Amino acid sequence: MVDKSNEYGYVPSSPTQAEGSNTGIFEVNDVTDLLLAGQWTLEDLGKLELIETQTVSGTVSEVDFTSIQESTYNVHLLMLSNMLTENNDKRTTLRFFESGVIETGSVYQFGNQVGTAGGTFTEVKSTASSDIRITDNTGNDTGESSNTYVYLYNLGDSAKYSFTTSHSTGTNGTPTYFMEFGSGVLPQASTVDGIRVLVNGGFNLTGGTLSLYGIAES
Amino acid sequence: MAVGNLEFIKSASGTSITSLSVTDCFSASYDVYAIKLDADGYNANSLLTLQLIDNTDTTISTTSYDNANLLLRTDTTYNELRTTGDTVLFSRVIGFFDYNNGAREGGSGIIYIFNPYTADYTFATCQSSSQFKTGQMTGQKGIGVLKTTDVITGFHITQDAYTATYSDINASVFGVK
Repeated sequence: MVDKSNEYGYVPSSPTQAEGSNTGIFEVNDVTDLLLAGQWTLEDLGKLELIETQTVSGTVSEVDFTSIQESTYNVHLLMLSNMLTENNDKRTTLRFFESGVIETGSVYQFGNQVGTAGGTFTEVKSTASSDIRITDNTGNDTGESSNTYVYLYNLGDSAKYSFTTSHSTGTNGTPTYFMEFGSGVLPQASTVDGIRVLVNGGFNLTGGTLSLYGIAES
Repeated sequence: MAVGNLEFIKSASGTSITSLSVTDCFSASYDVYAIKLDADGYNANSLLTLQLIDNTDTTISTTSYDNANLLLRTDTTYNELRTTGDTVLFSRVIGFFDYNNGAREGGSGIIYIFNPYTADYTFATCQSSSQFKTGQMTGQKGIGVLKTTDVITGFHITQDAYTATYSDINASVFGVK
């Protein structure tokens, strides 16, 4: 740090700094010195970056994210809030676009665990699914919904499989409170450049807020 | 671009490696940390474990860890893995890899570390997904704790009873604000 002469009288005295308890004012020379020392950055340090938020309006069969910036982010985070299905006891799922083409084949795999407040815990899994399951069946009565987060890995890496991990909570049609967590994979080395959120079995969504984030690593 | 509450701290990676240490990534600046972990390109059967490193850069390998994990395998009934007095925080930090039957496509996961840089117990959660052999995947969800008052500044990814070489292990550490 440079010596502070206070020649202009703007800073009455140079405060004593201690790690974790910085006080006082950074002068231009301080910032310059810290930049040179690699201890100050002009970069945006916030690394959970919102890519897009979509809100379900009316009745729709799916919600697509087609500008996911897969070459920028190695890890994405998808937050699904207050997801509503038109029909009772249906569940939201995921599919991926590979180079702009939706993959609808029975190629997805997942291993999930469902737990309910009613006392049952159940394994749900598949090695030949047409989508990745991310939540349990959800009721469509007033107040019933599902709420889920999904981490998505390596989507833009054409040499790697695309993995997911997820956790959800909601109320099924009984109604019984449930949670579901698990992992999934599209076991194909491909560039995934889009994400589709849909309802398993061809049913519709009637509500929900969906936000996609990228986690920047530099 | 919206500014969130996850702040990048550092990353570490290696090619042709059997373990990876990341030091000086935990500090007084954050209470909670997120670690993104990828592993790929192993040349033998393997499973990756995670241990913590204290502020003298010593990897803690005493029987001071407790953990409980569920392996969500598509090929069989899910496995509960739980140990008290373990030498690792997580015994399967990204599932496991069956090289001899393998698609050999690796896996990815997120680990959260709570309060490492305090003289309290260090808690953690872990979730991952991996293709452990051809046509089969495994998820993993777990918790772990280091029941000592060491000040933790880093972590060590290694193998238990295996010595596979990986062409790619990389970890990125974020502070959660």
